[in-house]
Amino acid sequence: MVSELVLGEVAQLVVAGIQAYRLTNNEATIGAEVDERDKQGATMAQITEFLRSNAIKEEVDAQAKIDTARGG
Amino acid sequence: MRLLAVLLVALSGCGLQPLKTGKVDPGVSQLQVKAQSVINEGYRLLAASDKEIGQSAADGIFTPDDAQVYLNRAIASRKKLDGYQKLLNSGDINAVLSGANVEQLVADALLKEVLARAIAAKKKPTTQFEEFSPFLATA
Repeated sequence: MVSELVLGEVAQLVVAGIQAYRLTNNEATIGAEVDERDKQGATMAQITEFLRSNAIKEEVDAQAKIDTARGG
Repeated sequence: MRLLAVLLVALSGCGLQPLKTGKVDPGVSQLQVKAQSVINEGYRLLAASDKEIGQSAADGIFTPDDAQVYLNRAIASRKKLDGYQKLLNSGDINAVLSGANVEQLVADALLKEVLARAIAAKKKPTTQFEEFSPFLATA
């Protein structure tokens, strides 16, 4: 009984860890792409446009996933 | 255990490198660069939120309606950042620094709320127990 409870708690921690990692990883990935553009000599305006476009792309992707989850 | 989950949420995003700004024209002031950095960080936070919202909807962690509410907030926040970008382009730096700072905080808060909600939604002992310990179901 105790071991089942402990495993349940551990499973929760694993899920929490995965979520936190995934979110941090999402941010880090964007940062790495900006780094790459910076190295290639992108201007401040180009970096901003990339970040804005990326945010809009993720909005569209998220909307598509929500629509799919609705069964649409 | 809840404390650990909260700590994970709090730690999310920590240790990330500040975003590079790219090549800055000689005539651009440090204040303009600072304002641009604030806006850029807001865009990064919102993109990460959007991705998490979509994935959580796909995984069934959020209902489609709940995910839609979060996504609508992220879109509204991004549109406000777009407005601050226009102000910055027109040279109104002070308005941008005060407003965009607030919006970045909003974006950050949204990101953490999405994550906290996703974690809380997973706290269903029987289903998650079966999901992560299928071997125990047969024990």
